[in-house]
Amino acid sequence: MSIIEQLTAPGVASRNGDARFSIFSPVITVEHREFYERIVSELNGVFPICTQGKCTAVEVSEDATEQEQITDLMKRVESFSGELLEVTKQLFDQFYQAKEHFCRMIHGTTAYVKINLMDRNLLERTCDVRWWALETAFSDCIDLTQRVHDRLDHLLQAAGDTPEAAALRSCLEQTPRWEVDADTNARLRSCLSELAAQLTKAQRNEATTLASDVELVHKKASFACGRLEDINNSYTLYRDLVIVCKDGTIIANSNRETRSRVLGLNIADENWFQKAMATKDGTQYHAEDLAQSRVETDRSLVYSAAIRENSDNYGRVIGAMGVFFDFQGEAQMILDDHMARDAGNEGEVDDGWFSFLTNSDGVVIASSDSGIIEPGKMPHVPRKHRVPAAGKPPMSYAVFEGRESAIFSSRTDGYLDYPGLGWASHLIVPKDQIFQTATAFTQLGISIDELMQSRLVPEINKQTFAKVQDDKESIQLISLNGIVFASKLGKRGVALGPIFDQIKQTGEFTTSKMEDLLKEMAIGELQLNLQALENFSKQAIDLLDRNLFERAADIRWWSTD
Amino acid sequence: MQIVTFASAGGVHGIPVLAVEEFFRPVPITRVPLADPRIAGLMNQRGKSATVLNLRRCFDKLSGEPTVYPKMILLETDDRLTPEARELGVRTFTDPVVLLVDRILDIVSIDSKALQPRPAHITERFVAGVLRHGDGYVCLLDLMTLIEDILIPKA
Repeated sequence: MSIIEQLTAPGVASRNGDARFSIFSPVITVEHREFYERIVSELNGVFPICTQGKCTAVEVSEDATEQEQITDLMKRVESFSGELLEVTKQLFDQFYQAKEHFCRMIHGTTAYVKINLMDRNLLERTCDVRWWALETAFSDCIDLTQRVHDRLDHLLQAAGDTPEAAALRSCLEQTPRWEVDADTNARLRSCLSELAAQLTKAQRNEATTLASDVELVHKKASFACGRLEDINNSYTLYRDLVIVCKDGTIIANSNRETRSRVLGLNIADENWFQKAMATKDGTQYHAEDLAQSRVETDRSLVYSAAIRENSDNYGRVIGAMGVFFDFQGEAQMILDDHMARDAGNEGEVDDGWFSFLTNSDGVVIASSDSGIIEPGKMPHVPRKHRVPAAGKPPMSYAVFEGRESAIFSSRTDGYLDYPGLGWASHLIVPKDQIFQTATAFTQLGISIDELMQSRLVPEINKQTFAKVQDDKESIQLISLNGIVFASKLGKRGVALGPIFDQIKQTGEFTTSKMEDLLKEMAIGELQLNLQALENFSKQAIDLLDRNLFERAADIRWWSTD
Repeated sequence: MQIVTFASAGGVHGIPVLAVEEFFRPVPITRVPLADPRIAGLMNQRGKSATVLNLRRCFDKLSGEPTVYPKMILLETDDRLTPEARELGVRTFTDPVVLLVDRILDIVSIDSKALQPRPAHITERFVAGVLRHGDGYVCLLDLMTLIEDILIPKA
């Protein structure tokens, strides 16, 4: 099922279902309530008039047939008035349900699109990490570093506990790390040559070659850092990218600012690293839900994959690559999108509008207004919204932050081969904004009657429109016939005249009011229709744009290869 | 005098209320072969057959589109006219006749002295005259001229 089908289906169901709006519902606008009361009181006014008509019939005529004719007319008026009362209720019902349906469609899709965008974005990240982990610069670097480490250990063991060996050991532990820092690297080499003086000839030769390899490690690690920086510059979506040795030591990263702290850090105990090391082949990856990592100060979303010998998909695992996705930054952009904005207040998101993401435990992980919906906590939304089930996206009305609001939630189950992390997106919209009266909309370029006949207006509204017009005609015919009848009674019929006049006026007033409401409905629905289309197309373009952005980043990075 | 106004053939026309028996929505009509094209057919009205005249076709020039929801006006038969109607000079046919019109508009009181003669550009003989009403004019129809022209065979 497509996004739109998925979201429109429940709306349609509720439309035909038993869900009814009461005229006493607080969402009914003041204008409409006034309008409703006016119609109802007018129509209710017809009943006493009819009773009066029946009484007058007895007064003015002694002929039973004539009396019966008048009484019959009155009864018919009563029955049409009763019908109109019913139709009025239905009309409001349809009006508000149609609005609810469209808003559900628009906002439900928006909630879905937000989480879908996130998942599409994250899918790209899983592709990225798998492909980058195959970069030869990284596997070469790890391979060499590992071998040099082993040989250094071997040499130190042979050297025993001499001050020179201790100097070499401390130099190995020193930060900035010898692998990436030229000075430390030089110091390590000098320590190595000092140590070599005390060793056997064979060991001296080994120390000399080792010194040149130590220098080579520095070159390779610096080159790996450079490659990581290239990637980060092309993609701009990452806070950091790191290359980790088998023992959990980070030997290269992309973020210059944190480099002195991060390099040499041992993260062997972090889950993302362990999971990456455990992958079976180069097609596998690990997506770590938001967690604390020593690499970053904030909670991060980490994608990891194993680095394999000779960059071969099925090679031996020699290390791991971790990419730290700038989740907060990305999420903020997605959350701030498609929200009503206050034009006057520097385009700030309107009060009462909230958008946030929750993880599989229902805990907020990103929020458009972190002061009110705090990350790390459970949001105050109805239970079925906290961890929405797959399939039918929930929608409810609830009081949120003291305001009647509509809450839309949606979760996706990933995108393509990315299974997703069970996250959900939530959108909170003030209820009165859903049901506010459509503003005057005069530039339709289509007459109201054409609109009523068009396919833009749902069949059910057309039926009501036809019904109202039909009743209007019926009442008109009855009152006209009544006037004709009264005029034939001559002087005796004078008493009946005002009664039929009143019936005629009431009929005209109420039915024309109802027609107005139907027209307002038709325009409102057209507007909402247009708004929905506008929303969908904006979202579709957004989706494409993001995809193209990824492709642009890809080409930038590939071109550096 | 009270007249009922109705729309037909793109214009507003009127007839005396006292000449009317009833207004109603169209009922099934049986076409009569070889009849005058102005006759829509015959219909059953309370056991009696009434001739339905399509008023739109009675005008010399066809104008306006026929409506999807026309209305019918059943005229009184001559024998049922009230004394008051006779006093006012209202005349109707001996047999039931129905006028098929586009829309019934209203019932209004008029001053018969205000009736102006038929303007020269109106060629239809059954238009008795015109009356100012609201923003426009209403053509008052002389029913007998119309009915006799159609229903009474010329010698």
